[in-house]
Amino acid sequence: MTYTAFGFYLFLVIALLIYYTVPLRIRWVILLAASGAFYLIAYRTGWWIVLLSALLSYGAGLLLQHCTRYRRLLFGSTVILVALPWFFMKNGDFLLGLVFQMPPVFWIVPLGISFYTLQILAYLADLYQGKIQAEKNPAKYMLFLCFFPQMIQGPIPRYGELFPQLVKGHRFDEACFVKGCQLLLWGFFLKLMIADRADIIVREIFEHPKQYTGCYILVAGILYSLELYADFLACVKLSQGSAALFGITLSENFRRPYFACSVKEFWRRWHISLSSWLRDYIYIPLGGSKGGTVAKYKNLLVTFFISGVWHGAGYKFIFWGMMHACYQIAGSLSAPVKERFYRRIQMPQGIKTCLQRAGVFFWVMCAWIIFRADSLTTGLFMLKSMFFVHNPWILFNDKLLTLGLDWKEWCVLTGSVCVLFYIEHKQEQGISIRNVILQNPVYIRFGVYLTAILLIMIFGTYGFGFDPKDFIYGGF
Amino acid sequence: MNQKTQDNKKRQQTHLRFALTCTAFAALLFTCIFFVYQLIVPKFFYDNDWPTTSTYCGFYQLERHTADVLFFGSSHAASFFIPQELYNSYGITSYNLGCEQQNLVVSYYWLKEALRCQQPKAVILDCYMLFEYNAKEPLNTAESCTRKAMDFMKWSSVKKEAVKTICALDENQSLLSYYFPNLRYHTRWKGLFENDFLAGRRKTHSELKGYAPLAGYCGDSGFVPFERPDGETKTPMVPLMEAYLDKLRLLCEQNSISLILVKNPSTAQTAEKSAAIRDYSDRHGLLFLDFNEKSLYEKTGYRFETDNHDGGHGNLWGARKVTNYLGHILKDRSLADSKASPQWEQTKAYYKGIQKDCCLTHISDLDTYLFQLKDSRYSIFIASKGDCTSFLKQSSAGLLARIGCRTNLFETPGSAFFAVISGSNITEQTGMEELTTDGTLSDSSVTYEVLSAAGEGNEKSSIFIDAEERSKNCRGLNFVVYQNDTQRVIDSVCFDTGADTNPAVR
Repeated sequence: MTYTAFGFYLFLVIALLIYYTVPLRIRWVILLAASGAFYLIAYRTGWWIVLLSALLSYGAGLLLQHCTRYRRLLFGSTVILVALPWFFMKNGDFLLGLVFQMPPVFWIVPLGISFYTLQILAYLADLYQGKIQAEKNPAKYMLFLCFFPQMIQGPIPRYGELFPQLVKGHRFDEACFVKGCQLLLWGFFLKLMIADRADIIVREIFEHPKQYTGCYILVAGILYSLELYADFLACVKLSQGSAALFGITLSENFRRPYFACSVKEFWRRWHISLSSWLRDYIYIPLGGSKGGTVAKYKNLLVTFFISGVWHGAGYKFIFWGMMHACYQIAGSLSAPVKERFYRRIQMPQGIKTCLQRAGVFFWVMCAWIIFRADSLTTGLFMLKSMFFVHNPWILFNDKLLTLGLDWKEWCVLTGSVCVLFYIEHKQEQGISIRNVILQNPVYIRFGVYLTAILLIMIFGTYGFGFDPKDFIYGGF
Repeated sequence: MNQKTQDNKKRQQTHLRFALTCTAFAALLFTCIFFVYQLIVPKFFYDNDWPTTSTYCGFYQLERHTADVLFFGSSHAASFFIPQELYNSYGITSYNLGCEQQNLVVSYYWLKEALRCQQPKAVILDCYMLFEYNAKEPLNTAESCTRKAMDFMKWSSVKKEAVKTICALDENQSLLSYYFPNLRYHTRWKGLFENDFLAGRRKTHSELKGYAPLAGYCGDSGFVPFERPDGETKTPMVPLMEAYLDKLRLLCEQNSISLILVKNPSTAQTAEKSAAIRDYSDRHGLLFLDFNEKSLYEKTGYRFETDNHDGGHGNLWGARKVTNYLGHILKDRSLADSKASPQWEQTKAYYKGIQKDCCLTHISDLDTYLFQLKDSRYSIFIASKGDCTSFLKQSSAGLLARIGCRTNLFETPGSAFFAVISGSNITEQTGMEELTTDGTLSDSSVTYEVLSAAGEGNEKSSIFIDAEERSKNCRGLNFVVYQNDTQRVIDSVCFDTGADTNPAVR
């Protein structure tokens, strides 16, 4: 069951009705019961792995708080035990194939393992560093790990940030509820109008890399960059929207990443909960930028290596992570030269920003091509083809209309992307479109919501004959 | 305490106001969604060869308990059974609920639905779909055709049961998509056309009562009627279809309805299939009429070459023969009574018009053709190519004037000529230069562009209707006839007035 499934919303409505009818003090119990029911209805398999990880980390948390001896050993062994299932499920096939040339094994993969594992590790690390107090109630701790709106695809919440909200019963708040609905609507727009539509072309090109070369790869790269962003942003918005209906605020996971002027800035805006997790629990403990330039670059390489491994097994993810580390190192090394150049030619700030954003988009896109390709070899072949095969005419001779989208669909896709970037541009200026809508009279608000719902309903990519796509980050 | 009560009251008021706003929004939203659903569900009206939507919407317009005979089956039924002919000849009131690729599951549920508002005395079923038609489809016929038939059934316990059954039998179909049609028709926004926007008006247009008229001649198709088979070799029926035939038969028995099985003349029918149906009908005491059997074929006077449209579907003339024979059987066996009914009386003229439309496509004599064109239901486009007067007869010129042409073609021999005649609006021109005109028909929903040019080596003619070339563009007078009522081009012909016999080219 994904965030776009009819069943999810039916489940959500039932959970909401029960949540707001029981007394405040036991509302967290409803959330826990709903999360458990959701897991069992939607996923079933692997629940015992989640339970074991939760019990292990819960117990270790209490011990870490009270023991004064062997804390390092306890912390280290718990981290390894919690991370092991994730490591084997994600990388087992890759390693078995690499070392023993064995065929893939059927691993039982619990729902959201990549996300809750990081949640537990952060909890343990914070406890170890004495930043937080261990949770005494195992049921409440369980709720923190498997709160159903965020369990599937994150964001990765910190204990101190999410836990108090979960256990505190929330009164029904109209404004919060409406904002939740707005987020859900926005999520559907991103998923059905942009991500799934772009995927039709992306899939066609990436599945036939020998057939499509040169500018086709460029088009696929651009579309995949948009698809991945829209898809991931959609799942975060749907997750935040669902949580907001219960009065719970989940952290922001994106801050308009394609508006970044450097790759370093891109990572401050993209998948913020993961980037900050890597920063706080990998990069800084390794020494961060304290040990000099060489050490800083080494730490960057290690951090992005782990980021690559987190995203999946295989050389392509490691290569993708390394690409981003190298981008940052190259960016850092070339920054003074670039600044001098801009000053010398006295480039207007607006043009400079546009060029920087285009540059970041291009480099990130190249990395996404590796990320999306079937293998590292295919990805490199596609990149090479993009740079060296000369076929710009395909952009003009209607060949793009033979890839699965006709001109009407292209218009809808382009229009939807324009809406996304217009809204992000406004947000970049500090204007919240959601608040702007809320400040308008009721008939305008009704008009906006109705138009949005009907547009998504009519022009969205879903339904009969369409292979519904899971959220991309649902696979991590 | 007081403060707390006040706070609670205030909170309750806020909640109430919010609930009211939500309710108003939901009402507005559902209204909009309802209209979107009306728009996106595909409609097949009389401008389509198989006007399934007209058939089913028209059925609901019948007065209760007025139709004595109901027809079911695939397009073979839709094209062979003419309720109006049955009424005109025998006074029997009937309705044809057959549709394109109607499988037995759909036939069964439509009969069940029909029984909610009609009390037929006889049900006549064409048996084409009892045998394998599309092995890939769980219901033996295309999913899209099942949807066509089910989408316009009114919601009731019958429809709920029908969609549940259909979705259980065909896992590619989704139950939700019947309740939320956008799930099925989510790409329809790319192909909405006038029927989608004018459905309210067009739904009421169902004068033919489910009959789908066809006018072509199939010519020599190699069809040979067979002798009644001895019954030793039988083609097996599709088990699901046979199961639903059983259900349909039992439903008829429960409602004291006489079920008649029929197989219309078709190249798809074989002696083995006929034997299987005969075996079934004998076992259950049903009447089975196979018009492919030599005796019956000859008794009806059927001539496959000119009475069949394409080898499978009957044309108007074939359908009349079959229908009249069925009327004779119904009367003979007292399965239906003669009665006068205003609903069938009112549509006599319309049926006559359709008969005329069908005949038009086979006229090869210019004068006869021109004589038939004098009809306010037609918009006529004429464009000449080359010299159209060389062998044009005076009588033809007179008949051209009769349909509205004021130009005397003999006064300007060798010139180009076009005419557009739509009701009292007549546009015509003659001259040596290239002549063109354009405009719209049917409340601007159809566009046209006519061109005629004369002169050695420069002869041209074209008639575009809705951006589609419809003219034959041969030497002489090119005609395109558009039927204003059914909004279709019903004929395109060129009479070569440069040759002495004025031969027709179609």
